[in-house]
Amino acid sequence: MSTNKGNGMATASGLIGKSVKRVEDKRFTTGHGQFTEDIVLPGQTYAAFVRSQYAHAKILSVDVSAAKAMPGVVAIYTGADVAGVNGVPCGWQVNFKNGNAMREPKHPLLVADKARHAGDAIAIVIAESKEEAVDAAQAVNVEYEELPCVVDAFKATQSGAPLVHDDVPNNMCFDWALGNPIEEVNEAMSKASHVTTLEFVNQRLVPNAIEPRSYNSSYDAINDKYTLYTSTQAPHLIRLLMSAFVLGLPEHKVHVIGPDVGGGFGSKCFHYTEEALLTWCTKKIGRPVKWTAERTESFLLDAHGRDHITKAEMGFDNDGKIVALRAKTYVNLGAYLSTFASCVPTYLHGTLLQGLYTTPKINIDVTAAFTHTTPVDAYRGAGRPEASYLLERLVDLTAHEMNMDPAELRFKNFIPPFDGVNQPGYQTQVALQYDSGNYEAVLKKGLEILDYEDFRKAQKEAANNGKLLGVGFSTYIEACGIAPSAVAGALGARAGLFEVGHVRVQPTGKVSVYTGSHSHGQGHETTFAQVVADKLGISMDDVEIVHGDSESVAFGMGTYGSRSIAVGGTAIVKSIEKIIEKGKKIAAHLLEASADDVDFANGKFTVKGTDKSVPFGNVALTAYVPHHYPKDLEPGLDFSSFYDPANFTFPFGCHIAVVELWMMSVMLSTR
Amino acid sequence: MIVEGQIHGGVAQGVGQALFEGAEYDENGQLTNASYMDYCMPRADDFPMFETGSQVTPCPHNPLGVKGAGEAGTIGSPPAVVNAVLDALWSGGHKVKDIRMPLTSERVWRAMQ
Amino acid sequence: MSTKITVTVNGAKHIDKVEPRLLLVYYLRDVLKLTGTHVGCDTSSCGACTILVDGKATKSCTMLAVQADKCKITTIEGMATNGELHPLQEGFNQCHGLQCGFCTPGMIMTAADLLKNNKKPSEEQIRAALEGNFCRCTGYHNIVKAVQYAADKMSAPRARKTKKEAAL
Repeated sequence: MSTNKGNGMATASGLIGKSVKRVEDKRFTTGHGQFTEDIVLPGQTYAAFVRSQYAHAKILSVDVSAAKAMPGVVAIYTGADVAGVNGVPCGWQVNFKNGNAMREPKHPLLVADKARHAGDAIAIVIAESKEEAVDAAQAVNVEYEELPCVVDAFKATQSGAPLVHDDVPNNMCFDWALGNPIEEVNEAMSKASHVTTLEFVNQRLVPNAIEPRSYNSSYDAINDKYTLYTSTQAPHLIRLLMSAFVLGLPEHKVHVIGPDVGGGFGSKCFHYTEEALLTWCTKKIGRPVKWTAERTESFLLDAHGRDHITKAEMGFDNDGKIVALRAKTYVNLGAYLSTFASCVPTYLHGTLLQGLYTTPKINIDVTAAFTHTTPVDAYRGAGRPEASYLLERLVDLTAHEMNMDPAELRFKNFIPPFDGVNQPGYQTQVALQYDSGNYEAVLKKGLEILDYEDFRKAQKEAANNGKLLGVGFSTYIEACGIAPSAVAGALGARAGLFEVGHVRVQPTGKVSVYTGSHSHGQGHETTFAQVVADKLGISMDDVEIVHGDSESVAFGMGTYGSRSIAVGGTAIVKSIEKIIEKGKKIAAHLLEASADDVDFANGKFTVKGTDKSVPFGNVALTAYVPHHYPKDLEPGLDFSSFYDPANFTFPFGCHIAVVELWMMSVMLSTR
Repeated sequence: MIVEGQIHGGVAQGVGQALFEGAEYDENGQLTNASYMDYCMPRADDFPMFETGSQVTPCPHNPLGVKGAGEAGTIGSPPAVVNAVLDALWSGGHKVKDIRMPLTSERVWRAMQ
Repeated sequence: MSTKITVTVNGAKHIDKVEPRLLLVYYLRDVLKLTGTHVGCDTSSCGACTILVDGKATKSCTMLAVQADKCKITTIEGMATNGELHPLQEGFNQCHGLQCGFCTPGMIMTAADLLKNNKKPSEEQIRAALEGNFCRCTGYHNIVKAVQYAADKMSAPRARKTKKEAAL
């Protein structure tokens, strides 16, 4: 019963939107994928870590003497050795409500003074084999003084809570608010005829990509050049953060490669301490160092997701129209500020609280706290699932409380359809302007697929027979392809949010595409090839997509936030447009026409209104063998584009879940 | 096919949050379910087949008209599942406002008492 | 201290001296350089390391290399024959049964064992057979379809023959 019932979009030439088999599959189905852990370099050494068993403890001493004498040990470094090295940075600055900058305590590569969460790294042991590294790590003797800890974001901000960082009072990283002035929201709320209140926890999740994080860093002393293989979603970003902010290395002397990566879901787009530490170590020992997380380490160290404690209130008038929304959220950041941690509960969460509804007054208030837990950052959805949970739970609960139909309640409150061309985008109360939307249509479609009326009849019948059937709705919106850079910068982003697409037409008309987007399961090698083949009117077999290498393309922001096709794909399209434009000049010369009179379609340059044409392949060859060639035109057919979008994109949709509760435990208890 | 695959996987992670997953710390700051023996990862036999549909509203500001689909499944699905369980409870006269995720059998049962 | 073992992997005989504590998965990956078999956990839960030992799906992280002495092993690299993909390998491509591809080798090996013993498994039987293999990308939906595709394909020649016979 699975299958897509819909009106998927396909272009005239057919390839975009067409369902094709993935071109990258063969290497994975035959065991020939190349993941970082599969790479073994000449002279390879292996690292293991000594990690704190306590969530909060003073480190009194670290004795490595016995470990150093163990077989195969190459080197051991502790927090004292890297005390002069910077910590890993945060890529987004959020300011307190009073305008002060958020607090950014150092996240060191190895801790020397205190462990701040279970798993915090105290020493790295490098040995000839994995087993010898692990054996020796167990022989490192650490003396701790255990300290009281706090794991809950709300409790962490109360007076008397143990401090994660001595210089961060109340463990408060920042407080932040967005939307209409709270007085206006309070006033609207006070006039509501019904207020639905919900206090809930959006629990902490562990992303759990099945490939554990893995890094292999090497240093070529002759050329003073570093190469880092890393299971990352964003090779260029890692190069920039690691070289410029942590290690102070010249960026052009650092080559970062993200080979096949076994899932990320956000957790692999951050710059982790191990990446920088291994790169620091490889120069010290003059040999490549590899580390792959044990699954237990993944649980303790890969940035977690969610962990919000929220109280939210939604006010309605008598007709069921939403008149106000007010929410207060405590956000757990964990022990350190991870790369994007600060923007997740703020600009990716508060900004989505308009949802699909015309709510006229909205205020969201966020307090972000450090605790003695694993750092929390973006995990698939990142802030937007928390926003949609908040809204959609409130709407369904209201339907129950006001005895209304949850679908009807939504229809009453939906923003009317707008396409962003003939009607303007929709300006929300929480900063964003939606691009285009038709929210009624998706819910109608969902109700059709479900056969809603029938379901309600079946539900009544089931209830009469002592069975519990339920249906739940969620009509959500998200903001993807975060941009433009200038706006993101004004909101605190410390990096641009463009993407780079480089299209190189080879002399024989084959096409190599270099993208800053990174595929770790998304299938870019197929999707991007579809776009290129469609636009150039050539076969997908004639297109190769190259990604994951900091030296193959000028720059790249990587893949997260559902941005690859909207931003990375568009960057490629921009380069294709340049290729077609130049191709027209070459074709015009070959066809003895004016470039303005040349059209390009279906892989052919044609003089308008005639049957005179030249195929794309001939134009490509002419560009590289420019014997009969326009004057003043450079040879070659090779363009790169930086694309910075004008706005986010705003996908939306409807989820419907149907459940039946099996009453086994109830029956047992009543017998 | 690729977009549907993204939705399936996203929904699985969202339903995972609603019904199965959650990192638990004890008062000593220990992550008590820091392994696959303890953290409830959704398995093949935890899911039905998914039914998907599509409705196209082009993005007006990029030449492909595309919006993005990687996270959609995860963003929308948890409240749908939780709402469905609560709807089932309300249909049986149990006026329950909230059950904390993940909605384990025990939590649902307790909410009914 | 090391122990001599003789194992046949994907049809080729290997004689190696290994440490008694070496797990079979690391023997395959680090000694034989067959890196298609993956390690995704440390509790034998995820199934990424699944291989066939004497025809039976086995998590190679639960076995020591020395225990594999005199065994016949098939890894993902040995599934295609003479350059022709196994129906499961084809099915995973045809049905989009993989995204990042990390769990895929283990999934295919587990499914291969299932299809050997059950030519026409139901959806429920496929899901039950795969419950020891984690996938975080696909929600399992298309993996189930891929296994169904392979089951159909593997029973197809007989079906065609039956049709032909019926025609005669």
